Amino acid sequence: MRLFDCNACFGNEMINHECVNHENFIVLEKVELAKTAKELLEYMEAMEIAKSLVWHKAQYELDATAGNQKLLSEIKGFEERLKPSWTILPDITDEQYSPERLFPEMKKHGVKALRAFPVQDRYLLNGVTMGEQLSYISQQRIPLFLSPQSGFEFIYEVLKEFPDLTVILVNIGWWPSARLIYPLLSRYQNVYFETGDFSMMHGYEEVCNKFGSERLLFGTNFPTNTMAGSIYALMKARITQEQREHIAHENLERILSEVRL
Amino acid sequence: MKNWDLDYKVIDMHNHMGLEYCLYYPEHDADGMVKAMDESGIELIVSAPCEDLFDGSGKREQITDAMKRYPDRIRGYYSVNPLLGVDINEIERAFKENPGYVGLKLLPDYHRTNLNGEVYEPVFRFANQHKMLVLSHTWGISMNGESCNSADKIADILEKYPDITFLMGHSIQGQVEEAIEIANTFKGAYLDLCDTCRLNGVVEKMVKKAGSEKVIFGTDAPMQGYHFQMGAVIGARISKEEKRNILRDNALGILRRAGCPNC
Ligand SMILES: [Zn+2]
Repeated sequence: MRLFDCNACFGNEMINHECVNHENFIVLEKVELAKTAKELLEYMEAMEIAKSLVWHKAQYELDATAGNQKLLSEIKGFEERLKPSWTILPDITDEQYSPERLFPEMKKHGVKALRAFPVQDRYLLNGVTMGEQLSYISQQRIPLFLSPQSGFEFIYEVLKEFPDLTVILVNIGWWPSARLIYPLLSRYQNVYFETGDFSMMHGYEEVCNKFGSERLLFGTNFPTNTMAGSIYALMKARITQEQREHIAHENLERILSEVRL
Repeated sequence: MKNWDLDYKVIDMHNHMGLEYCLYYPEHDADGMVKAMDESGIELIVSAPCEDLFDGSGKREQITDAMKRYPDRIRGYYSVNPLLGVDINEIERAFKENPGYVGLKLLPDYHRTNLNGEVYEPVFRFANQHKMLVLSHTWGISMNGESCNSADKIADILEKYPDITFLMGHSIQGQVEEAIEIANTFKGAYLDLCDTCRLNGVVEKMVKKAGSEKVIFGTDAPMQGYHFQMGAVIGARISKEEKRNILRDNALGILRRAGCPNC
């Protein structure tokens, strides 16, 4: 089983680590970090993870722009295995995120995925705030990674306005969220979710049966979670080998290959 | 290739049954639980069904039936809900009638009752007298921003009642460092991995600082599956023997030693 992790983070932390128990209930607990890209690779090596779509902690807790640059400079030399994903901001304040400026930059640096942290960065992820940006992201099939740690409502809202948006739900929280995730899978063809928190009893089997194995992406939600949990859960799920390969790497590879920049 | 295989079966000391706390998950009755255990290499669970924790009927039929039907696979905690009052005679009677009960289960955060408050006092006195096993939910801070089962309150109880075997459910998530200190200070205190084992580096930290003999495996099943949390232990950077202590041997030791009102 070849593994392509869709959600790993590295970088030192300057504030307490937030662990999502379920949406709106965050526990602050110390976890072990990968402070550098090299340390992250050592974890991946030990767990036999081939590639990771990564982000830098500074993209969340310092500043999107500074963090995005830090990410690129720190994964230099490791680009074969560490693929970058950037944080986006509304271009009404931060003009470098306008479609004409952001997307050529992404192309230049091989960035094919975006993350948005609207609560942390103090904006609303919707058409009023960033309609042109979101339309472009949707048209160009750029996956947008969103965490429901502050609640699922904003994800429902943005998808109502941009139903074709490719959204990857990550850091979904430890408690089973089927009632919140299944409706999105059912309504929107381009919604997927990461397995880094996915421990639901018979969850893999149920999601594969109801929605198909194309809708799950292997992820570790590292360093909140240990990489071993979601690897073992995927390994032991009672699904076919073909379905396992979809989840382990093929779905993410397909999504990234369909990005038009 | 990394070896993920176990040559022994696992024991889960923090387990539930039935629908819990308004969440959706498939297969949660005794038969479904045993099926999932078979699929996952779990030999024995110690379970506190949700109806005993959140339903005021006081029937406790789900667990007593399950223990009778699967005596080698399912043991039970007698759940104490202080909101319904505490009746020690009733607890004694339940243990006498149901040999599958191995301990008491407390849920202070959800019952919004301080662990070291007056209501629990007769329970701890009784448990201490009989050297019983107690699994208490413990978080540093609850969803309401309260701290009904934080480290200070646990230490308070263990000082007063040193003969209890006290499993700190979730290892006081949010205060794991303090939980480790408590495990080192009090002979009867144990770290429960339920949920908390998924946090990166926590299993290794507990083993390093408190020793693998103080770490217990639990899952919250059926609210969670078994594999994710088993993987967190199997994949941890600790020795084979330490993994076996956590996944099986420590639990066997506790179950062997735990007293009950009839023994
Ligand atoms: Zn529990």
